[in-house]
Amino acid sequence: MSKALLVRQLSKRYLIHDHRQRTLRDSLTRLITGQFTSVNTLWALRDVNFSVEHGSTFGIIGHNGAGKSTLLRLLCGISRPTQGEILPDGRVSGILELGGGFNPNLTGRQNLRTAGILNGLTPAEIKKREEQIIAFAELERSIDQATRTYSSGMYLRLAFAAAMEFEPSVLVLDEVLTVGDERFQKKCLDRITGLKRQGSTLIITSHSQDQIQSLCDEVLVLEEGRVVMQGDPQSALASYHDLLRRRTEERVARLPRAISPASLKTDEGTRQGTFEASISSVAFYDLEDGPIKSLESGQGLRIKLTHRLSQPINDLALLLQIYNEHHVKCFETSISSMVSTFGELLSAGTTVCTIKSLPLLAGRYFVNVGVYPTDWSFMYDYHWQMHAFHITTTEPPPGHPSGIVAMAVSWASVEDDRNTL
Amino acid sequence: MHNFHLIWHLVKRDFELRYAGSVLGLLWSLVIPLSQLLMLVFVFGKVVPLNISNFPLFVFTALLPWNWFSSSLLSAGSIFTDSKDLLRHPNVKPAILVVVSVLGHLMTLFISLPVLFFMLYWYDFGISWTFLAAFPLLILVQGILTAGLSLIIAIANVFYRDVAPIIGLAVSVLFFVTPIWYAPQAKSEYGFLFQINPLALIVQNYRHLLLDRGDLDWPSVVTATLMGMTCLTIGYLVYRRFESDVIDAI
Repeated sequence: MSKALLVRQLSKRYLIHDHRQRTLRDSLTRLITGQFTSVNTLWALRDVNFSVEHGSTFGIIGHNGAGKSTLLRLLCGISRPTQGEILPDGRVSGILELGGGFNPNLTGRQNLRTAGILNGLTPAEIKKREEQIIAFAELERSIDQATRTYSSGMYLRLAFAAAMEFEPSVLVLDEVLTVGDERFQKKCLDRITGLKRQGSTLIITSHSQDQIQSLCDEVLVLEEGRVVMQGDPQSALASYHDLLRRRTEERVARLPRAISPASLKTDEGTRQGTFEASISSVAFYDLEDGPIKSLESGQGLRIKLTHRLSQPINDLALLLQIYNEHHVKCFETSISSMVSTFGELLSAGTTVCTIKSLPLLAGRYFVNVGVYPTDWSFMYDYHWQMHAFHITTTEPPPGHPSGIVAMAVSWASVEDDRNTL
Repeated sequence: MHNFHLIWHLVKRDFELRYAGSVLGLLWSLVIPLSQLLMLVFVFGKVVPLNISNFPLFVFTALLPWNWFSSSLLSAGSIFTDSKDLLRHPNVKPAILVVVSVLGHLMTLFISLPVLFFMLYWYDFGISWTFLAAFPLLILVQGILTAGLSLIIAIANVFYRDVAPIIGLAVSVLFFVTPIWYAPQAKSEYGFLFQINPLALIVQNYRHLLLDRGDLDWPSVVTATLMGMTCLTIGYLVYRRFESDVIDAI
């Protein structure tokens, strides 16, 4: 396979000025007084090397501020590298941010035509594809209205449909699959799969690890502007988790004094975090609020998490997972911001998660919980395989079921009319 | 070929944007110069009469090139800052947008041209072959000058937002030192102003060709061209230096 994209020793430096807009007066004052404020520089990318095979789907993961957006901007040609090169340049196109790329005061159709011209199509070619794009975007009724009146979903649909139809050789998709309603997301995913089959090269970033895992052939992990690794999705995600652990350790080392977490009544599993916020208890109840250690498969489970802040913290993200004994994830749910979900963050409080029905096969399971800053950049407190509970079944189900999910199964035998034996 | 498509499309798009949601739309390109003409004719023909023959035609010959120049410069500051959506695209080199802006304002001049021709016919001047031959050259010279200045202004305004108001001020000063509604006295002590103002040189040539039915005044055309080329060269050098910063800064 040949390379669709080759990135060599790519670096990008940004000049950081003070937050406000520079004015002529500032510069003149500086010129006269001779005070040249030293401009800070930030290396958003440092010596990045990688290549993308033709027809492959390439994922880029990394924590916020790791350089993902800068890299995508460089790939799309929106920004110029300070050093290094991208080969070949120019024929990459993508949807980077909602809101960019279209002029809000022009209608959807006018924007579409501009996008077509910019992608190197002739007016005649655009006309041919226009109706198809509008149909895919399902915007027949609002295509002649100014795009400033569009909802973010409509906007995305138009941007996505246009990007797909103009068939760039490399298509960059930044987090776009997490926007829009589920039905359209499905449609987009189908379209992406179709493009993959036709041999298009895709570059995607996503916060959804499942999407990375299922779509990508190869994944690049970025951290502080440098490439940590390039490899298959499985090992890339593992390395990404390692980074999270390492960042947490680094933060602990920088704390003025170590914080010891509230002790827990368990000696199983492992716990890691800076403990600026910690989970002081995880307790299991049935739906009538009676404390339990085990429950019947299919019954409901209520989990009460008590957290405590040792430092003033503005907001928390909360993660709750159910794993089986063999470290297989059965379920995961999270709250990305306690403040926006519950209105406030108590310095000590209990969050209750009610699972109406837990259809797991009989066995021993763990509830793994974690509290994080809202950008998920490190761990305040994460409990791995510490809180166990049992799922039981009074009547052994027929057919020796195995796996994760308990499903109602019955077997039957029916005589076949055409059986001539 | 593709750049031609692109520029032509963007010029049209500029018009669509400028007149989006307006009732008169393209007609504004006619209404504005005509009302300016009406005002100037009223003030300097009736209120404070300057006693220049065929005054409306006299003003209009200068008003058209002036409007092209001034409206280009006044909107030059926002060429990059208002085009985030276009500059995000790798196929759009920032300089193309300057060309688009200057051409877009030239279109307004072309739209008013029939009115000028009608006035020439009305005042029994007619149009000389010399003018038809010289017209593209004058457009080119002014285009070079306008593009050069626009490029500098557009880049500077990305980094210093005070540039746009300064240009607003400069253009209104320039309106008075360009012989639009008066005839310059070359021998007066301010005569040099009309020698160093490239737009005055261009306007004088239009008048000479159309109203005096004379030839191009080559020395002044060459001077204006040299000034224009200087602006464009400076603009290009600034552009080469700051092109990638412009894209990062907006």
